[in-house]
Amino acid sequence: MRFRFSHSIILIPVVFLSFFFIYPLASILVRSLEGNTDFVFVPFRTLFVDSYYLGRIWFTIWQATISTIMSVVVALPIAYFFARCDFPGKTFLKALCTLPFVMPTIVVAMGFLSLFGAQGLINTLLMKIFELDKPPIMLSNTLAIIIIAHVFYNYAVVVRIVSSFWSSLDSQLEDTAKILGGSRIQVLCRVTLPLISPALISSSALAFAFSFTSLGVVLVLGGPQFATLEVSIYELTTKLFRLPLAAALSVVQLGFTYLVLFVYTRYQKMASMQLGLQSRGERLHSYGRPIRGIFIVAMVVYIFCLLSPLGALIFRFFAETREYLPFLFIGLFSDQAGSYFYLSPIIVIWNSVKFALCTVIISTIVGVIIAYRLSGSQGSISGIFDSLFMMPLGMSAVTLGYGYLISFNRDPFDLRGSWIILVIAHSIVAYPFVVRSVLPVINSMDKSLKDAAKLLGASQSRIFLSVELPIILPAILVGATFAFAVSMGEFGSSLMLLRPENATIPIAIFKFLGLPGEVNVGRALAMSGLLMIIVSLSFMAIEKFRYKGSGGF
Amino acid sequence: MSLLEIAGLSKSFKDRVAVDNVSFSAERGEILCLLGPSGCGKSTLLRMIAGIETPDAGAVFYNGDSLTGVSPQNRGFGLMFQDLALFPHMDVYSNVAFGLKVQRIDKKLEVKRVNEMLDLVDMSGYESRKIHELSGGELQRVALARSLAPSPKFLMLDEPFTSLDRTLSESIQRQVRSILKSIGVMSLFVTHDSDEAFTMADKLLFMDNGQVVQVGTPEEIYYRPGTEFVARSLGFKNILQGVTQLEGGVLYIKTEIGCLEINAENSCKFADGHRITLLIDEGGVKVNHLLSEEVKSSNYFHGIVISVSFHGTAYEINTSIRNSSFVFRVHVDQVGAPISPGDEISLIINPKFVRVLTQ
Repeated sequence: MRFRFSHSIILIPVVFLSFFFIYPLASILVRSLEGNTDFVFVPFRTLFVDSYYLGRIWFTIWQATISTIMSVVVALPIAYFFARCDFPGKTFLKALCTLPFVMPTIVVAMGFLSLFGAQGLINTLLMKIFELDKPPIMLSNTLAIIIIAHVFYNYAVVVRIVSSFWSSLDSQLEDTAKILGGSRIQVLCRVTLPLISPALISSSALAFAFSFTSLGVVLVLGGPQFATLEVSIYELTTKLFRLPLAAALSVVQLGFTYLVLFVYTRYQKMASMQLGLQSRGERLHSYGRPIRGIFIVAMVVYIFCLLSPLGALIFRFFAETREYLPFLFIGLFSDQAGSYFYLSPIIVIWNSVKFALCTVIISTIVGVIIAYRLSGSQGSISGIFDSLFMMPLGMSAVTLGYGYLISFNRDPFDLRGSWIILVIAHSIVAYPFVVRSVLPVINSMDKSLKDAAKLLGASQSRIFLSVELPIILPAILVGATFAFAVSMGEFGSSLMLLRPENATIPIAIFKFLGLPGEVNVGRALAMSGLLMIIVSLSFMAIEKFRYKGSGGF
Repeated sequence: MSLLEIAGLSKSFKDRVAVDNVSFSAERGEILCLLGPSGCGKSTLLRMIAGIETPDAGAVFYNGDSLTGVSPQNRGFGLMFQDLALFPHMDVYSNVAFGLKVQRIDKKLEVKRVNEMLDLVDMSGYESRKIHELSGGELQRVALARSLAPSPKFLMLDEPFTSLDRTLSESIQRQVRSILKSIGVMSLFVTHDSDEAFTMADKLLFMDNGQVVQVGTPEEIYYRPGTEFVARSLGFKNILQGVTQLEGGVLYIKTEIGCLEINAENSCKFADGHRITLLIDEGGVKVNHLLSEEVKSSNYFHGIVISVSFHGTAYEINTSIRNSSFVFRVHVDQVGAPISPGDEISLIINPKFVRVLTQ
């Protein structure tokens, strides 16, 4: 057989992932099996004997479950609303509503501090109105605020996936059930919910994975008493230096993540297959106009309440950072003490942009090739590979960072001090977003297009350049923008692989929050507002050019 | 008052009128057929009768009671959608049993009723099949069984056979008609195929642009189509505009293909110089190869053959008469020598087969 370029190109992602994903994970596994004695499994024994770490595992599962259930409950009415109601401005409202999907966790955490914190908007307002001398609502460092924050950035995942699927669902099925005598509740329980269950399950799996591996929210909002697995791994590695134990915890976490991602990819595939079968949906409604009007107004109010943390952040950014803005703009080029690690903000911002652009290049190449590979795959084994390829989507960034720390610490691959390692970590986290943006478009591409081009005499490369590329290019741009936004907000692995000179915006925000004084809160606020604006702009671009036939994510 | 009365139903979407003041009625056990092109408002009309859509004006009366404000689940009507809308997550049994389960009827009765229905549509033994395992005709029959299981007072079927191929569709049409007749359920079919309408219906309704333009039995409508639209829907191809001309008590009509004499029954209705539309049935033509002595008879035309196609017992011949297209069918026995394109041909149109459109 002739050696074919199109077949060998798959080697690029395979080599890349083997070296920068599988190898670090394998190192973690090996490290988790060693101990101080000859006896293997010591770290695991410590893990399962020590009630503290068992407690961490239990707490992580428990909070992720609650967060997922609440996210679904919060998201379902919105998903229904977007799937079955048409009104002017819907596209914009939907984009706004799913904005938290790409918000960096650190920005989300800042948003919550701006709203619910001791100096947050709500407390300031209440103190003014009732002339109190202490803030009445103390949510900081409570479990409640962790869960609320998880719900905040996971409901958007559920809304995106479920509403796209729901709107493609043939509404005649529900109408038929009604005509056959089903009450509203019966139609919902017997027809609608079972039919949207693939989308519901896949989005819940994703929400669970995100809550399970959440780091920024727990660190900033929860405080020390609420350590999840992710926080424990971070602390064991960077503060306590108990590497084998961290490895064992990472292995436990990886096992969970893989299972959850397996569920995600499986149901995600099911959802997209059903999507192809019934893309017909009439959105004519039997509600009288006033009821519909009330419903729409109620939903808009509901969505704005959900988004209030971001609103609070923006408000405080413009209202209160006036005195810190000089820090951003005048202090941009100064290395004055007080700026974080003696790095001026401009360098921090430049780091973020530089890393993000490099991440875009690497993750786009890797993601597009993988999407091509996955589009052709079928059969039972492909399910295992699919979830392996998509695993970084729900994987803990801290685990990844930890894996890099113990894998690339020797010559000739001592990359610990290099910024390249950060870009690679970001690329691993970001490429699944490219795959998910591009794959539906490749799948939806009419196979006869390629055949037609072939019959007209076009060569393989010619077909790719003049037929396939123009069709998938918008999707690649969407994927690249996703990668940019993800890299700008990446927190976990950046924190693990931190070198002062490589600090990014999220890291700077985190460090400012750790420093005492109102000045530093203001600086964190300024940085967060900036990051939020950058990510929001990227997201608007994504929503504008996204392939609307896909399942939302 | 009839058992079912549809009175002045109207519905607009944004600036488009979908259904415009539609009224008709149906009796117990009657099968109605609603004919019209896609987008004429048929589906919206059905959705309003079913109660899924709220009309802007008008009402539905069953047994004298207005159904305004009654939700679809309480109307006791059935509606079978064009793409059947079988629940993909349930097997055949659960689909058919759905309407019974939501009423929480006794389990034994439910099983009995489902078995009866599957028997009726000849699908016994398919209870545990998944929906995606069934063929087109089987899906059709399961959907019918599901619609019939809760014993609807009135069953509506929205283009139920369009997805089937012609042969299958015809045999299913006959089956469905005999099933509906055997249980005596009052029903309404929607279709855009006039053959299907003739197979199924006791009464036809023609709908165009949101309005019902003609109602009648198949015979009434076939012999007295009201408008050009109805005539074309019935498959008539020769529709001509003309002006009446009374000459010695005989009515002639001047048309683009020449002067036509028509049946006496019509002649008293029109004054001289009246503009009318008429149709010529393709079957009412005799061919004359040789220019014979019949030349002097009226309704004698001269044309050039454009195309000939063979349809088993008849040839369909498209000719050009005075540069206007004219189509007719002749029985194979009546054609002596073969006719081919380019031939000059003379033909006689039987006045009995010329009909004046009534509206």
